[in-house]
Amino acid sequence: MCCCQSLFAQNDTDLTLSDLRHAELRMTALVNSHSLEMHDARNSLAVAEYDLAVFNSFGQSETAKTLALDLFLEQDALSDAIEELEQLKIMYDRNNLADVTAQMVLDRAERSLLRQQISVELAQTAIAKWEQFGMIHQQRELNDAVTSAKLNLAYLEAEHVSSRFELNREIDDIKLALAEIRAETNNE
Amino acid sequence: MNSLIAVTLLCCSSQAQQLEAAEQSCQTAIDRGTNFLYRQQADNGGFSLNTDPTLHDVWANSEANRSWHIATTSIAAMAWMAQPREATRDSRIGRVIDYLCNSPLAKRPDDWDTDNTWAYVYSLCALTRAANHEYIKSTKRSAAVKRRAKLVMQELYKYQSPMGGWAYYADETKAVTPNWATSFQTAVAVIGLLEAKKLGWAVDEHRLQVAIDTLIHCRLPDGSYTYSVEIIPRVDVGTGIDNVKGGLSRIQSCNYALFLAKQMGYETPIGEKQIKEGLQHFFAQHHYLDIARGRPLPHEAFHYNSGYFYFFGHYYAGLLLGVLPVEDAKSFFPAYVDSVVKTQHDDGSMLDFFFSATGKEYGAAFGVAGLCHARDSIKR
Repeated sequence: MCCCQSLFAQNDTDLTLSDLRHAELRMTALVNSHSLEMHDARNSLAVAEYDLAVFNSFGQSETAKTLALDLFLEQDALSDAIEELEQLKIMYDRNNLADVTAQMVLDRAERSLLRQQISVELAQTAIAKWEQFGMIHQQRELNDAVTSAKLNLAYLEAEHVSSRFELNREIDDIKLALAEIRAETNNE
Repeated sequence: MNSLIAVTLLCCSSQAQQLEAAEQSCQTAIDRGTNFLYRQQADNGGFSLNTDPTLHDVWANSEANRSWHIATTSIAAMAWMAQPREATRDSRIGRVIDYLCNSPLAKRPDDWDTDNTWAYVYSLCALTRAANHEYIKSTKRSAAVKRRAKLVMQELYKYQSPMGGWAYYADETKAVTPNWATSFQTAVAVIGLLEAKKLGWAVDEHRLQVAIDTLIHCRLPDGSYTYSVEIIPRVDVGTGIDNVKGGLSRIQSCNYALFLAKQMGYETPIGEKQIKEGLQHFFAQHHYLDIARGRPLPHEAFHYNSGYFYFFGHYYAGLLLGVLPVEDAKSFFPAYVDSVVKTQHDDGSMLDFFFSATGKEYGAAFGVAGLCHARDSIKR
């Protein structure tokens, strides 16, 4: 074997060894990144399942109670406004200092009463909307979140198996190429 | 037995000494405060206040400052008229009353600002006192005083809210007649109108009756009064203003107005018992006023007390001592004197809230006037 052939063979060996080291590093990185992705996906699934469980055990009833409280507060404010308007009229009548200002304040109070009545209606609608649509929608969203998290986890697991399989194949090929180069070098 | 008598005598002697010391202290403070007020009187009879208050005061509106100027001048006039007659003082009283009778009526400073009502209520009070003052009567000023008071009352009526009382802002509606009303300004207006009625001057009886009823409406079960005239009054819990701790000064002015009304035949719930209770609250909870005095922001102290509640409340507390039996007045006198005298500056002025133009002047005027009434209350 001449000197040049020996140098070429050594070069091939070095290049192939470098490819092998590179492929092994990629494998380490892949395993680590898979590990992180899987951790996140499992976490997302746990959160989605937790949210669903909380909603089923407390969320539905709490939302219904909160909406009922909102309605109660609005009705209360309406009752206060009606009472105060009645009292104001009594005060103005008793004082009998009626002028433009008194009428202005009474008109404003009447308008405020109308606004408050609308607020009560909106609070009533909010309850009906929740019972008819909101609750079902939220339930569906939470179910979807759990399903999506499960699918994502399954997808990542499959993708990880596939990626590792491909990379293992690549490493095996490099190792085989390296063995062939070494065998040829020994024969020469 | 002998030792019991000795202890009793010692206590009496100690109380007498305390009272005597308070009297001396009271007179010294009156003299010093009066001299300070003399120095502030300008050639036109009014007060020489800060020449450019708009540069320093919160309200940069000259008419608002002029309204307070007239109110302050009126309170100073009342402080002088509450003192025994003497030639120098008479002359100053004559000039200050001339000023109050002849200066242009305060106008509304802004759509939201009706501070001109302070000028009306206090000039009316000063003019009613002037009408009873011997020097004013002897110098043939009575007709001018009555004429001016009539004008002031007409202006005052225009600002009586349909709620029944008066206040100094109109943010709520910005209407010609404001809707907001406060108990304490209504009390000052009622006092002025009652004094006018006592003099036999024509007073709109319906408006006066409504204002008295409004004050009664503001009275709360704990003996305090709501700050504003509320549709449905209620005692504030916690750190609110509508209770005794937040209403120490309002109690005194409103009690005085309602007591005066009762004396003149109106039905009101305020007698000696309620006055005494109000004064007991005043001294038992006085620290709330002490904490607030001098603070730069309105309503920044506990229970929304403001610095400027201080002398306002003390002035009416001083007047109330005069309607109690002498022995009761004596029991409050030393504490009263101490609470006013301790605020006096070296120049004789007093200050509870920083107003560049009128702060020291109205403080001293209220302080001196209150001390004069308190002193008179134990000399009957």
